[in-house]
Amino acid sequence: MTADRQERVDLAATARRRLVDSLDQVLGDLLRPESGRRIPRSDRMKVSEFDLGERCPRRGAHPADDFVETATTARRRLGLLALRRLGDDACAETDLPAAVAAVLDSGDGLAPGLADWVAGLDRAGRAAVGAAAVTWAESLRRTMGATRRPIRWSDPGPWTWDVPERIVSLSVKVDATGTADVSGDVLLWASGATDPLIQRALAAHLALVRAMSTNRAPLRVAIAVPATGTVLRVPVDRDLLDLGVDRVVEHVALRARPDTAPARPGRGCRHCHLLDVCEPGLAHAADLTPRSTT
Amino acid sequence: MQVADWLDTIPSQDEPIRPDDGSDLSRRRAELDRVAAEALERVGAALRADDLPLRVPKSRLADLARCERLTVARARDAAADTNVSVAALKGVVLDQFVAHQLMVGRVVEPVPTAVSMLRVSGRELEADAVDSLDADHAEELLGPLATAVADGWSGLDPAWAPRTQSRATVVLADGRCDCTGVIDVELGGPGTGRPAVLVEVKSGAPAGDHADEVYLYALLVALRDQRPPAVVARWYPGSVPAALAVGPGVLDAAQARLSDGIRRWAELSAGRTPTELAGRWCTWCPDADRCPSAPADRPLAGRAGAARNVPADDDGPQWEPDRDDDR
Repeated sequence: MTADRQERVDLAATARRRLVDSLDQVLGDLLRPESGRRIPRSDRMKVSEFDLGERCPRRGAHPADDFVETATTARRRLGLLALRRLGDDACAETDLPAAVAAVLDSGDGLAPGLADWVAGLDRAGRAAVGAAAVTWAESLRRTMGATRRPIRWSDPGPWTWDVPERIVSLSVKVDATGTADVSGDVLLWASGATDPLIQRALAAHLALVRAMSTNRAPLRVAIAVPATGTVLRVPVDRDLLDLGVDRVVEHVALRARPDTAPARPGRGCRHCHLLDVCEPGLAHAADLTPRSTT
Repeated sequence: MQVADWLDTIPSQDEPIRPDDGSDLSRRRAELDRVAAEALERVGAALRADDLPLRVPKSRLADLARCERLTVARARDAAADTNVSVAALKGVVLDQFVAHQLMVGRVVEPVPTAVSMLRVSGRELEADAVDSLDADHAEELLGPLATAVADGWSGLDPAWAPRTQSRATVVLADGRCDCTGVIDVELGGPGTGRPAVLVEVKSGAPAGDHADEVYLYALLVALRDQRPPAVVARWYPGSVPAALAVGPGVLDAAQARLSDGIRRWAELSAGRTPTELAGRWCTWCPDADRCPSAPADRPLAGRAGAARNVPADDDGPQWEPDRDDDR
């Protein structure tokens, strides 16, 4: 094993110890399975990259359960499957709309829920979601095409890692991977978030889950933001993995004791599923009157 | 003239498009960054936490050009407004029909196609508005749009790689200010061997301020792609696209307008009393009933979602608030 590779392995091991110890401190015996009992993933608390982007702790502790598939929610997965279908040529001048249409026609690679939704669409619905997927994928491949680096588009299924001795799983969906050299992987995630802090938190979560899953920290995470045409390249070091651990621990602690999660009112209050039962949110929503017009 | 024929008239570039050499667009970005940072610095602690990031999208710039009080009122009421006007509905459906034409071909049954596309796109308000119309009226409203799209957008060479509702965002002042544009149709550009063309699809009559919208898109796409688009255009049903080659003047105009918008919106967000300017927009202003500047005899706007008997838009005002299609 090379020194670089050993360093990556050590980074992952350190992060793992820190994560487990930190969860022990904040959870005690909460979210601990009965001895010897195996908990299926469907019954575990899942912490994904989407959970960590929530700015209001109370909302983060009470995730909405009214998910409805739309063109906006489906475009990433469909677009990614189309890029995979195009393979190594995905950044070249290839027929992306045909690849998206083939994904919609075949349903190959779609998760069951998405496959059922697509199967139920009429021609107009397919046009709407197809156009959204083409635009998503084309925007990403243009952003990445400018880098002229080889890209291996990923299986869009999540990577999941079960935290030992806890009913908690960390998951992440990575859009593409590449190998920089023998020492480690480069991960890519396409983001709509333009906030630099959220981008770094995303990078930290990707790196952490990958490191936990493979027992080796990746070399680098790239966050592509097609809307700004930028690719943020974040080296995976101890600071980044510490950030990933801190965010996960903070989130799990809130979810474990959801009634204690404080509200952080903001723009999202008026659309929040908790608005009716959240006093600070209600007050904030009511306070959005213009301060200078009477 | 079809869009496809019009695109053929755009000179192809003789040499591969090269990224900007870093000077002009970097200078523009740095200047916008400075403007945003200074505007935020000036208002400082007067901003509430949820005022950041300061958002200055297309619709806000358009509102600011009309009336500051309208701008503040619309920002306040944006989430609560569940009305869908006839003109807004036509605009949203026209966008969907263009996407349909480009993805799977001609729209054959306009009304069910509109409802299905709107629902799949998560636009339940607009879908319900179409559903609330009686069948004849819905067909009367949407049928001509489908015909116009088929006439205008068929036969487009796939090599133009059309993208619909694509986004371009400039992030300023370390993420504390941003401006996003959602471009109705992007064509060509890097990797296609064709010039980059942006098209704004418009359902209403041409208006002077529509040009400002595509200038803004030119700037946002230039900053995103590190190269300006070759042409920006507005397409109105039944018309040849109103096009303009993108040169420094277009980018200068957009930059000046965006800079002014950032400064003013920062001040208004911090509590400065907005100025009032009466105009046709008073028809749609949420504050019109209590604004001393609004004319008492302003016409009422037609609402598609409010009743089954939607007034024909010929009877209503031609002006319509701009939308930012964030969904």
